[in-house]
Amino acid sequence: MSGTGPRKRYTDAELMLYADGELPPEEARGVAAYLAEDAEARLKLESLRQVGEAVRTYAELETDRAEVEVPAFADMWSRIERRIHANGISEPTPAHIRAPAAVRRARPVAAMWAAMRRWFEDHRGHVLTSAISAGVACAIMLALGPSWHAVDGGRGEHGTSHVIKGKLVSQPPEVEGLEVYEGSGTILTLEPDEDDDSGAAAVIWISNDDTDLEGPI
Amino acid sequence: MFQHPNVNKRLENPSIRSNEAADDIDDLDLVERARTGDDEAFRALFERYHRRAYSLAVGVVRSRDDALDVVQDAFIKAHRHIGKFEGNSSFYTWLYRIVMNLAIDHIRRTKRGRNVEFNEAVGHAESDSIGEETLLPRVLDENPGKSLVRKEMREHIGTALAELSDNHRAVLVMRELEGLSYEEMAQAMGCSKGTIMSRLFHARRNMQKRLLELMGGEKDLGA
Repeated sequence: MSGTGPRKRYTDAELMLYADGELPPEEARGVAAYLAEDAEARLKLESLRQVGEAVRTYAELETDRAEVEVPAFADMWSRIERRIHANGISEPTPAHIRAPAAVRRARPVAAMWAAMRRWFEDHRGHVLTSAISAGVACAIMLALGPSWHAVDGGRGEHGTSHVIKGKLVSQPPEVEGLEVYEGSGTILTLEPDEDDDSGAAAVIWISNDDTDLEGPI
Repeated sequence: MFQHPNVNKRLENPSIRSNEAADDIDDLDLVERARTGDDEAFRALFERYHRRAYSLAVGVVRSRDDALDVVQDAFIKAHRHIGKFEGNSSFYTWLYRIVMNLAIDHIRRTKRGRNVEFNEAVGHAESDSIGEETLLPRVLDENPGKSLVRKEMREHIGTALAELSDNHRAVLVMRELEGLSYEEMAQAMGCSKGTIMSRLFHARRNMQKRLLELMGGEKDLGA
């Protein structure tokens, strides 16, 4: 930087970037020179250091307190250990780092339950949707009984819906999956008998998938 | 030329003690043993790092109980996936990413409709709104380390931290406890570096402001 002309004044944001090591070297040198001559800027930089000191001290004191005052802190390992064994230890590891055979033989049942549990956790939304859909289908079949009523899907005269008399369909409902935004669905279609001109009835069941907890805040 | 000593550089010696010095066994040795089903080796890793992990978690989620849950879940997850740890980074670097992800998930799930943030998307130019705001002068005059150990100070700092928004607190803690770069924080929080810079600036400024208020205008807090 030359000795002629007014020295550039740096913003507080730039001072912070300098303090955090986020400025390119050339710019960082300019800020360093500016700091050497500006006492107020040095004071601000010191204030940044003090905030950092405050946060670190707080975290350490809180941890000290928890260690002394919170029984659950001291007991943390035993709970972790219990959950590790309840979950059947780890995911399958590559062959070259697998546990010795004796260790593997000792845990086949736990590993099987762990695999089932993990599969359920990964597919919880679909399992629940499927179970609910199956329940709805059964409920419809039972409720309709031998003299069931079906709701016309809006194909009646002048486009209005109306309730029609129907008979028990001989074939089970057709079930289709449905992908919807942030969820999934199931369509149950009940086809009428050939001599019934009232049309098909459909039940559409849509549920949100709430199992995805990944992603930005 | 002025060189400010050690301002917010990546922390080689974090203030949160781990028990790493307690024995000489290398982390990677313990990881290798843990991979083969050696629970004692995994426990040794837990003993080394659970304090530091807790400090990080409690700084982000604030509640002791929630922080304990986060740390427990993090170690269980680490144990489950330890076969995938490739050793490209240190074990703790890998672990803190798990802790941060879980802590961020936690505040995301429990996010309350408070602390609305502003100036999230500013850049670095002088004309940006952040450039017109100023950092305050020093909060403390001398011996901040000594004065900060006082109970009153811990409570003040806790109050000031609690009043930050979840996102502001998360970046401040990531930066000050773990020395993460803006890029690393942007990846962890799924936002831009500019957003991280803005959050960090406002978090620090609000912390300073609030600490000054809580201290009743006193500047010298030396014991």
